[in-house]
Amino acid sequence: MRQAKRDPEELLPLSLSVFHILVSLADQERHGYGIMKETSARTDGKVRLGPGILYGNIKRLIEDGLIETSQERPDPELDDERRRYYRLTQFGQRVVVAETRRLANLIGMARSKRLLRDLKFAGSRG
Amino acid sequence: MALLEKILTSSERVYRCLVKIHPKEFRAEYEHEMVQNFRDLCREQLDRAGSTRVLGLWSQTVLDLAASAAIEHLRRKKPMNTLDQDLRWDLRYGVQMFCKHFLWLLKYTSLALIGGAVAIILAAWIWSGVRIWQKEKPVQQAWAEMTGKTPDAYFHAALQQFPRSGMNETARQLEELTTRLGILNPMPNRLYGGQRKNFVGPFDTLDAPTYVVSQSHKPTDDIDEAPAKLQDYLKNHRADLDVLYSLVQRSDMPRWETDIALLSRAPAPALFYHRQLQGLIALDILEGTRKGETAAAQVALEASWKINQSLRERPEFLSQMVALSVLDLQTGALRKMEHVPDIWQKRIGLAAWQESFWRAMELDAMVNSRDMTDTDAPVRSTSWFDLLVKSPFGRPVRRLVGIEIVEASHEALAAIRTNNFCVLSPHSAVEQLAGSRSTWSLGTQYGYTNYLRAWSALLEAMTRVELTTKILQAKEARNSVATRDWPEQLKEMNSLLCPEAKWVHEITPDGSIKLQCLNLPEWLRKGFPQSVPLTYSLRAKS
Repeated sequence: MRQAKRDPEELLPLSLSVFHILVSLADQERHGYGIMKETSARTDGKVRLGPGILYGNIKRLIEDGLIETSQERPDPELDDERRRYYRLTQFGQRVVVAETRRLANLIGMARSKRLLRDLKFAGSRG
Repeated sequence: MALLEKILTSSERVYRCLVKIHPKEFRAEYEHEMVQNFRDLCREQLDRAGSTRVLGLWSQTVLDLAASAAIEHLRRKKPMNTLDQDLRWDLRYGVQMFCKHFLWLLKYTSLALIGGAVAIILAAWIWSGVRIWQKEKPVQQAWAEMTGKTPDAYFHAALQQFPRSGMNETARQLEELTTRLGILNPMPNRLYGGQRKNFVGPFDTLDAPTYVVSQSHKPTDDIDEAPAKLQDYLKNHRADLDVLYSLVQRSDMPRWETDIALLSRAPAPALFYHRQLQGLIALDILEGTRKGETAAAQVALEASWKINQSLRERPEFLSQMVALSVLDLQTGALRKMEHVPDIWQKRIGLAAWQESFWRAMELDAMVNSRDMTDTDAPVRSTSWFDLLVKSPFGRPVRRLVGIEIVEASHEALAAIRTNNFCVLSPHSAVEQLAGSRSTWSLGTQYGYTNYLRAWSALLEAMTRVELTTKILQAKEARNSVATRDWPEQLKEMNSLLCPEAKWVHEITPDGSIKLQCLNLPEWLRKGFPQSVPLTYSLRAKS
């Protein structure tokens, strides 16, 4: 397996759009509109993926083996059968975990420098 | 809902066109899904907040498409070796590329805009052409069935019947006299011996019509003493007023300029001028009646009638409306008068007013239609479409609008003829008519509902006329008997407005007579608490 041999670290850091797409697919398969809706809901509308940027990124994520189209459909009777569903590959899961760890490390570093506490304190004053 | 569906369909259509700016390979893979997603987003915004939110969605979408198209095109030219490089093509990078390739984008955007404008003009021409082809003959035929003439023939017949004419000597002298009374006619080219045409005369501040209307609203023959300033005015201008009455009595009917060939720019009577002049004469009639100077009041009434008759004989719809407004002042004064000649009951009759109103509305529809087709009059349509219609490219659209004005006017006039306003109010008829018109019909914006509203005003005025007629009949019957008491029997008078409505009278214990109209339609009755009461009491003569 080509993906199994690749190092997820090579792909980091991920762009904001790509990270949100991968996070959106972390718990279940979704179609494009589902990814847009889930991202918008999860970020309280602060991150909105337009169809152009979304599918540009999906195309490249498929080419690089981070996601793949799914043949299974959650409920064919209730859904438009022309919609394609996407899911994370194992490699994609490793990449998004690696990116999350990287971000967590950054948060840890910020905490060690008391940046978060200071920011919170500044915010409460302000 | 139909509007929202139209917005949704149009938005999807535009989006489908814009997606074409992406590379062919990309579109082959994702075009369908992108359009489907956009449609879902659009529907969601419309369901949540209506059409305004769609504008916000479009601003995001245009940026999204511009950025993603730039990324995909550049990526095709410069293949990336690693995912790391690929993943940098995010929105921010897209904006950078947009700036770098601004000229390239400017070129294609300009071409797209020019192409879009050409496409819109062509679409408007084709759309107008098809609609004209569909509508012109049926509309002309329907108009001919109603009036006996095609729209063109109708207008040319009106031109022959009402040829261009200037003001006559009586009107000129009348204006000189009214200038001395402080009432100026603000028609174009009036200089009044060097005075400005917009000069506000001293009579404007006295506002006689308000006093006259307040007296006509009283449900009895009582007349309050006029305010001192009005009495002073009458005293100071007695000689001018007598000259005015004499002029009107001995001369031809005053006639002002007429030129219906000028369409919407045709000279028309000024409401303010006639209302002030007729308000002054009505004030003089009321004062004469209050003081028992019946003969003098009748002379003033004759002058008032002759001046207003000149408006009624004019072809314009506006003239009829001004004349109707004056009629209210006249009937308000008539109700208070004693010994009014019989002829007045015929002069204020319903049939003649309905006929002159009807002809004026027909001609007005022709004028509006031709004004749109033959001139560069301002177009009352909306937004960018307005610009197109006003431009030289908009001629076919203007022609279509002209046809649709005739179509909408015909429907309104037919509604006046076919609806029973004793059951249905004109306001409800307007709503029914508006509901049946297509939103794509531009003719609906040109005031066809005014005809129904004017008809409503005419019917209200005619109800007041009927009250006045009934009062005149009662006074005539009383004056013809020796006892001078109110006669028990009066000539029966059914209302001409509705078959069920009927005027009745009752002699009260104190010897007064009470007149009232029964079974009038609800919408007509509702209009009266603010205006003339439908019950009128006349005291016994002492």
